[in-house]
Amino acid sequence: MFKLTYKGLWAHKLRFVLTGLAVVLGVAFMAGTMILTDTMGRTFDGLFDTANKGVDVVVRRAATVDGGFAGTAVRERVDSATLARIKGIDGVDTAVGSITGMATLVGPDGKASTSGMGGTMGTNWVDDARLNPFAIATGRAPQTPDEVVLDQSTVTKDGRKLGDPVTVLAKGDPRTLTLVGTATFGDADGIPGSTLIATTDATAQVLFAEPGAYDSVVIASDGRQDPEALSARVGAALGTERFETLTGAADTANNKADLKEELGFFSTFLLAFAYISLFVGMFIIYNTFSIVVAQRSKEMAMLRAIGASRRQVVKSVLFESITVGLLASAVGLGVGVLMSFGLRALLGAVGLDIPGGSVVITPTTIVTAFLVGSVVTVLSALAPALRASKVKPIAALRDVAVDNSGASLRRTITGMIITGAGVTAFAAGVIGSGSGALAMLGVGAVITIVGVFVLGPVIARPVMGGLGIPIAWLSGTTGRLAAENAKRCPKRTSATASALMIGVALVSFITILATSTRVGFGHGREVAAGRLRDRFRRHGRRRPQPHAGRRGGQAAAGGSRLAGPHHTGRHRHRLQPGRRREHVDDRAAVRPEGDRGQDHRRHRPLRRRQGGQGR
Amino acid sequence: MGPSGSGKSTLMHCLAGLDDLTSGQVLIGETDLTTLNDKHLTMLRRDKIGFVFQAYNLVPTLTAIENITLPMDLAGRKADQPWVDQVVDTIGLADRLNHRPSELSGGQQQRVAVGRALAGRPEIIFADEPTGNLDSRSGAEILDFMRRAVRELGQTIVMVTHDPVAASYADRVVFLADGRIVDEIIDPTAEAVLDRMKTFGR
Repeated sequence: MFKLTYKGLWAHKLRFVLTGLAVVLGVAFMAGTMILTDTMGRTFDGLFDTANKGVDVVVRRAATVDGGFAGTAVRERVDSATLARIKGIDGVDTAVGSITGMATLVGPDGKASTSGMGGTMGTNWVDDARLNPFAIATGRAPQTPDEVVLDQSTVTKDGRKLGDPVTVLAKGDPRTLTLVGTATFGDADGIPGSTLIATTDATAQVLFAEPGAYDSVVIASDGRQDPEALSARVGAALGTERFETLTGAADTANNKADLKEELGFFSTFLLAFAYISLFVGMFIIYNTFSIVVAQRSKEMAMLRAIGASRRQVVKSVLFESITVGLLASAVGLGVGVLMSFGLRALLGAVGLDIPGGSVVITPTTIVTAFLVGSVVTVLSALAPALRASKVKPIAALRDVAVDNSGASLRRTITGMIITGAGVTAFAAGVIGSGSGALAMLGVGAVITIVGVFVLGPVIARPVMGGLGIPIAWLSGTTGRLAAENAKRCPKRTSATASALMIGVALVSFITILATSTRVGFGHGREVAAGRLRDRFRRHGRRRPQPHAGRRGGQAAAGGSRLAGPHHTGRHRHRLQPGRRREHVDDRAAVRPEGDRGQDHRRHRPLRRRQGGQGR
Repeated sequence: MGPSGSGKSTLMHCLAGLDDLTSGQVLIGETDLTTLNDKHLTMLRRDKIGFVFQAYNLVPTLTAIENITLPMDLAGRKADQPWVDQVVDTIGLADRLNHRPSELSGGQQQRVAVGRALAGRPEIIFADEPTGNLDSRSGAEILDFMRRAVRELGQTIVMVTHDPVAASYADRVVFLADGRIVDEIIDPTAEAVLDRMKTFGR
């Protein structure tokens, strides 16, 4: 029997390939998404490890809950006097203040330069190598208030030379500084997808924070106590109600967790795509197998007549589908690896530069790809296989295969129930609010499609009866024949119509998604700009906003987390309308009118730049 | 033998366990078909019954020899090689065994089909108009070959036909009309069968 199946597969290579194609596409998209997310995750994890490697303890102000921003903590800054006190604590070898703020670099062409996913980060240059993940590559560290160091990759990209003027947009008026050095980050020429602007403490405070204050203090231990003990000691000395201390390792873990959350939206977004393509693939596979099995029903009846058991017939179709599923999954996985590069390039094109690094293919990805690919294929093939096994052997002896009509009572009832459930969920989603309602809406829509798919053969006949009247009236006998033909095989008619239905649904989905994304990007940009203004006005810091809780020495980590307001935050707003409203209200409420003009001017280059990317 | 609508095919489907009976019994050897469930009927068809169809019904993707041994493959049994060789020798297709059905003529395909029916050593072979799709020469070959299977290999064959010439190859012809057995001829000739058939028209 296996020989028979195998030979059949081989003899119908084209059919085999076309069936597999649907699986390949679905699996490829999913695998590509998973690979991309894993790769990004590992790259960023590596960055955080590098960034925090010499830091034993981090000190920052205790979080205070800000009334205007539900559940969001806002931090005060740490003043110079506190830094001096920390330096005096026993066990502290070195303590430095650290500043991380948002900035924009004016490119050689006079326009605000575009930075990648990580954005542009302004910081103070820390001389202690343990506390600074960056190292000077060429030139020297900034020593006077008008000197600046940029990361090597930005300097290379812009074609800048040491001694060139560098214009920085941050707080206050644009500042022009002199490039005195370039910095590398670990083995890299900078943080992938991010730009570094490092100045002296005084300049950084004016540009990115406020005079005499730091965002946090990072400490290197003298080695006599472990980081936990030192962290507790510093906390006790400063008072835990105003200050918060944590070990460098804990901070790294926090950063990684925050980033995972920020990347989470992204994988959800892409995985939704993958599941939709698999869903569509499933319909295609199901239809393909239905047709294939129908074509072979005579052969199967003959096999039954000469002694093949029902089991053997089902097994042969299942074996065929497993073969298709496994081979297509393997190909899909390969295509998925390529697709992860493509996705990366695509995201880069819309302004989400994702850091490079080797492609990460986890066992989870491989197992998921194979499991989903073959399970979907087998499930799609199961129903036609069972139907095929029910073909009466006697059909082989007759010339005409029996057309089992689709309008059974069971189908009608099942279809009604599924469609009813779908419409109910959909309605609940429309009436309700919040992300739960949105999910309900989506699930309802999918269930409704399945329900209509099941009902297809039942409604095909009456629908064709109605449509047939004008057609017959318009085109006479030909039209009447066409209508009768469509009515004669309701299953075939509905299978064709379902394929079209899915196609139209898919096109509408992509169009709406694209439009929404564009509008959402625009909105997110405004929200991000609003947050920026808040932040500059209040000199506050908040978690989990990406630029919160930064240490200058850990500028690197801060830089990559700037992804938040620029990008991930944007998507969150779009995906969660409830939160979006809050943010907008918050912005309107907290921003004084008097600030508006200045802020507007100050941030315009940033906004215009992003606008250009989004559209 | 019988005119169209006389119930020949229906009777044969009932005898072969392909159709359900409303009443009565079908016995193949000692086995009562009406007491069997689908699974046992399948096994019975596989092990005790052979089929030859009008439309050959070979599996297009398998070679001639693979088609011949298919019932044994389905049963998971090893083919009885000397017997298969003898069958292949009898049907005279030894040089075309590795050809696909599409590479064989209609007569050759039907010979493969007969070979398939014979290969499993069934108790009985049912042939439904086996010469219906063949020209008279190929048809004569098949009929000749089937008669040899009966005479030399001791195979029982039940054949449905409405061709008096085909019927004349049989040892016994049973006539059906309107679903009932109305007559029979032992050791028929084509003329005798034709004469009997003519009476149905009136």
